[in-house]
Amino acid sequence: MSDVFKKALSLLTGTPAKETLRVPKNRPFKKLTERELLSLESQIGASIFGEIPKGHRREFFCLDKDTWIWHEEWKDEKGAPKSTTTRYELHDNGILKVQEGAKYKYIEGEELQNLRVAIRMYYEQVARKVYKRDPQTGAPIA
Amino acid sequence: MPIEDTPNFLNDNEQPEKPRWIDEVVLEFRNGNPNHLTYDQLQEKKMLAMTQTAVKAASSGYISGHVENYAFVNTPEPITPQPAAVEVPHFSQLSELDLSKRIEEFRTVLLQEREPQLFVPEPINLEGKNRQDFDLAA
Repeated sequence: MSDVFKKALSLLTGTPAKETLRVPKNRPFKKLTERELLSLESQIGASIFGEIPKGHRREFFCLDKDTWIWHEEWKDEKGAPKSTTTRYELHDNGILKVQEGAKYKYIEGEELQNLRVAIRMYYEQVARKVYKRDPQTGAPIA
Repeated sequence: MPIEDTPNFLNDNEQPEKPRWIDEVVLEFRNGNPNHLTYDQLQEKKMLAMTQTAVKAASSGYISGHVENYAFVNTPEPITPQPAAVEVPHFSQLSELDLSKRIEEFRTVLLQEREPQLFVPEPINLEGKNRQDFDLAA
């Protein structure tokens, strides 16, 4: 597993048991860690693609300005745990899809369009719900 | 995941229509690809069917994410799932890189803003007026 995958997953799954993230409301000086922010973003990211199938766990988030992560966990018909992690790298000449097993390809066609829509939906919702920003201008929402 | 477990996004009184490509493509994989289609042919077949299903779902008045869920059924390579919304939202003038930069900027600013305020206590003058606070004998 590459370093960026490890970083991304450790940021999101640092604790053994996943707990429902609750944003502190009455503690304005409580510092949110980067991991907590990514988890908040990923909750939104996971919801972009509709209802998550039963038994699935999905993460979709912007790791940094050049990298997006899609992680999926589920159990197969025999109950064996399965997972896949896909990294999308934004390059000047396209979006490179990187998967474990040294699979690289620039996405195109409908798959590219799906990701572009997903990124825009993610941006709009994360800007409003997590960062209280106007997605159009980037300015804080009063 | 068994096909029967895939979520039903239709109204309760409607029967979900199973996209035909599930039978065609998934069974290709399960049965060892008896038609000897190449992987690219299978993917192309699946993408075509997903497009048809998505268009049908959008035109029927309900938008759901059920299409992409089938992308994870016995496929050797996961396909980027399709968002629940069909239309591209705002910000089409901004590139993916621009949007990613904004998100990272928002994150950085918030992390800095939420830094806890450091409380720096006034120095205690043990010889002066604060002494009584610490003098148990007083």
